[in-house]
Amino acid sequence: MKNINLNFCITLIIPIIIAGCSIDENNYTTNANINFNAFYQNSNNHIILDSMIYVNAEGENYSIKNLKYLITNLSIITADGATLLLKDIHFIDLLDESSLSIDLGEIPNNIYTHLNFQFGLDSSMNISNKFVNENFHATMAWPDIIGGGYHYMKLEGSYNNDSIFYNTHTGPSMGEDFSFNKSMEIPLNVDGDLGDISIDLNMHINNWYQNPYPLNFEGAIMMDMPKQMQLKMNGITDVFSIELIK
Amino acid sequence: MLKGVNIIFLTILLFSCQKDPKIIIGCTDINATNWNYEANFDDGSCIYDSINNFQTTAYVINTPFGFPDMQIPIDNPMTQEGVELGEKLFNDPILSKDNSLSCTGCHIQINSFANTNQYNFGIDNILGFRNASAIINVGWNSSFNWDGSVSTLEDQAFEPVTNEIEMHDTWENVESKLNSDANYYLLFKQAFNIDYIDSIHIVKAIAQYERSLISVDSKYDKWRNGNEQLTFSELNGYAIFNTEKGDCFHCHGTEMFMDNLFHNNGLDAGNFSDLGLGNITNNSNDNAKFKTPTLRNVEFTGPYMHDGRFSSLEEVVDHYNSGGNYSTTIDPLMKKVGIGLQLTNNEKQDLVNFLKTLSDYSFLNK
Repeated sequence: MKNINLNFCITLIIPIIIAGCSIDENNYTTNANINFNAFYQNSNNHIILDSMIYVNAEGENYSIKNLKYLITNLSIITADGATLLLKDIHFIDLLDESSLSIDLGEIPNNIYTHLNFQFGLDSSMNISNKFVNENFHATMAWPDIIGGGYHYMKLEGSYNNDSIFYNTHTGPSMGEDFSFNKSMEIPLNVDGDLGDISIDLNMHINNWYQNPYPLNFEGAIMMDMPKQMQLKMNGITDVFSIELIK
Repeated sequence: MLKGVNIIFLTILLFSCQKDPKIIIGCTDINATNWNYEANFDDGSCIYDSINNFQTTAYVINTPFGFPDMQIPIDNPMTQEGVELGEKLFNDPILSKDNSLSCTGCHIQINSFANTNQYNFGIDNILGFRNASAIINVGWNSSFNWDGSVSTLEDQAFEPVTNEIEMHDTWENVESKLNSDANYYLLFKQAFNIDYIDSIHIVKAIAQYERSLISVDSKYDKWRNGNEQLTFSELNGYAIFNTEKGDCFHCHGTEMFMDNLFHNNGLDAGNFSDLGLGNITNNSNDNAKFKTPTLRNVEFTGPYMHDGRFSSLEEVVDHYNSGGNYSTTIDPLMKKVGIGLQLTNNEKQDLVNFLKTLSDYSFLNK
């Protein structure tokens, strides 16, 4: 009788354990990646490096040699306002192919409405030597004497002729926080049938110098707080666009 | 019987629920002769040298303020024995073909392991074509040589021994010389527990020693720690260095005073006699780009630049103050080409005075 009871219990337990094995299995069905593109203006043509073919709102011809920038708190937001953090900090270097996309893995089933990120690091994160072990530490460091922490962006090239250079370097000028949040609509219903998706996050470079503040390339700007503010406002307005590719 | 089968079955089921544990079984003791650095589960298979009971003492790197963690190769951990052996090898001319030239022949400690010659002669009286680099805080470098031709200190240490304009020896010969030396036999045994001294362990020891050459005890460091005051001139130099007025920090920023990158800093207007990184990558966009050196101890490491063309810090500052020469690969950070920084003589002197606060005298005589 005792053996029969034991066998009965084991027979009952085995299916439970087998079922238990699948408890950790998630119900994700959609894999996603995000690509970081750089375009000249509002077209979707990738920029051509080292070519003096671009013109800013002030009529200056220019080329682009380097583009490096940081984004933080890359997240997608559900219809009911919940935040799913995709990546806390990411360094994009146009010359480093591996930095131009992130494999986000599986996205849980839900209805999402927005993709959010911070351009640069906000003052709570932008502290000298906070990221000594990150690959951008030496490249993006911003001197203590003008605020400390890290550059948000280094956009460099020539203007007017090949031998005159501009450095559009944005960051915490004199300790002021010029980073900004972007929240971009991205209607996305991950329901198990969607399949894999790609998100293109596009930077329209010329728009840094255009709207609402037309800017030229003259002068050093790292200590120029009004110019940093103008770049921030231009950045918020229309520098970034987003596209969902199913 | 049935109960037993069920229990075994249950156990198998329970274990099968665990996700890919990635257990690698083997000997996990670094002091064993069969240490498996990938193993994370010791299976009791470790074998020890029964005669010497091989043991090493860990050499601890204290990461200086503002520095990243040093990336030490997993197959060459730092040990006291390895560092001491590396120092002995570094100072021993036995590595050269005629036993006349050691590493210290070109890398002199009182010059922060650089030296005062523009170029140096090898054992066959052939003159080199690049200035000897300082060896300081190199454990944080991600590439080596002015052109970045190698990416580890171990690989770098392989080069000078066989280079015909340097030590011009063969590894076979060097190994033979060291294996016939009873003292070296013992030291390699103690450091690596090997019975035959080979080139791999020779460069490992040298690399360990080079990683131990850490210098962060300058006046600047003491000022950062609040233990010393900079003069007005030095402070003004610090401000010039760290703003776009002098714009030194973009390449020589952080507490390391270098960015681990390569730049063309406007030394020449084309027709480059040395392509630098371009020779390694075969990409013309990299022509005339050279690795940024640290500016720590820069006072002791002249002459300056990859070709040692500037004999003093004043000449270096004059170069940057001129704006440099345009060429197709010049770095856009050199944004004052044709204009110059326009520093006054006093400001140039302030900048030099600040650079000298990076001197760590204690490092020169350790």
